[in-house]
Amino acid sequence: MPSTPPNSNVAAAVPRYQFAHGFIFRLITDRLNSVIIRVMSRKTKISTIVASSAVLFVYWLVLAVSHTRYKQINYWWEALLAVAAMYYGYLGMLTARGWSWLKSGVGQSTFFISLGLIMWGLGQAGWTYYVIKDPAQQVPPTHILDVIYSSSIPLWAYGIFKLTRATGARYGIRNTKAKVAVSLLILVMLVFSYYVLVVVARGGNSYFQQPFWTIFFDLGYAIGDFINLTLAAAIFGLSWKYLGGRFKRPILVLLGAFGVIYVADFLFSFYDGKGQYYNGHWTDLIYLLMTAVFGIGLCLLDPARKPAPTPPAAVTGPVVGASL
Amino acid sequence: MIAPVPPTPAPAPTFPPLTPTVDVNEVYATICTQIIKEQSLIMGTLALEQASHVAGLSVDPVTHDCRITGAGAMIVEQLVNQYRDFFGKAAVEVCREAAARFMNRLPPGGIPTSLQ
Repeated sequence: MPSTPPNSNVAAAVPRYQFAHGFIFRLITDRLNSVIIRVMSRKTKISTIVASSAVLFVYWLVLAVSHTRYKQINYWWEALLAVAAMYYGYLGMLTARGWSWLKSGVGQSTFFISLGLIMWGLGQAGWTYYVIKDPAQQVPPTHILDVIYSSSIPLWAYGIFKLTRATGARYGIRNTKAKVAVSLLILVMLVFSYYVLVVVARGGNSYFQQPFWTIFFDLGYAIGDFINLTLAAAIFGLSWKYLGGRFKRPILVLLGAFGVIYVADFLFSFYDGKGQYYNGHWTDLIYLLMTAVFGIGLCLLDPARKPAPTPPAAVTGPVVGASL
Repeated sequence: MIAPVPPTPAPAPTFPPLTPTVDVNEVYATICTQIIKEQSLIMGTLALEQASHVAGLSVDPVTHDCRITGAGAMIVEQLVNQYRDFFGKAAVEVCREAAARFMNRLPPGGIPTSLQ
């Protein structure tokens, strides 16, 4: 009987091809990452986002002008939207690298906002899968998708919260007036959101006669949107006097993205509630805008700068007395 | 007759001062250390990288301990300005908060302008 080394039982349990698989996978992904990091500057990443969004817009425009509805080609547009969201999230993740990943506040913020975008993209991919499988259901009735989509909400909330120190919002709230203003903002946003999301989009109090879990999954996302937008608006207001420098614009773009997703979800709920939504509806364009704004904001946060050109070597004459 | 030589007065004894005097540049160095540590929590290793652009300031990459050669107030001012370039006044507030504990150890008029 051949003797077995003491630690070889674990290795023996895993077939050799799996090691090769893992090695090749790691080789490809590591290589891909390093190539993207090296080749894609901030400008290139943003150009890629703008160009791919423009292509998706033109695709949508062709569908809209030709009145193409309920066709496979509509669902493929939705699939491309999912790919775009995940890709933009991936580019955002690369930005987190420049901020030391999870070791810094901005790094954590970038990472979790990017992860939220990737989760949203995954939800969108699942949506497309269900729609392609059963085109009779323009809005897939499964709660799995709700869970995947909704997972982006706490990730975004955490990400935006981690920006409070970098933006100066934490210093802004020390003022009593600011505390009152934030309380008022929450109240106004609550009333406004209840009105638009429940009264206008869902037909008022009669909406609450549905089963609890239906309301939970339907309204949960809207409440998450409300929390994120309120947080974004509060940070925007509180950091008004403090935020500046190179990263003012990217942070404002990111905060703006939360406004866009709020509008997109409201419009989706509104048209879906009226039974007018179909895949490729114009409200999907707002989702495209949301993914692009998130992607651009995340890429603008990239701290990498082009290295300054090396100054030409100064012409120096012989140093007098140097030989002494 | 030789006159007796008066005894040479013994040199006045020197005593160490009652309160230990701290080198002002050491206080500035501590302020820099604290600022870099706080900024690291916000921007990671970029905080160290930015500090490396400040002339006269050397930072230990692991402990973030600083050493200053030159005018301490000027160096702190330059360091704060490096961070101001990133997040504007918000970054200055972080620096001010980090340095607040050490302000009373600085001589009057020695507080860097941006931290006042």
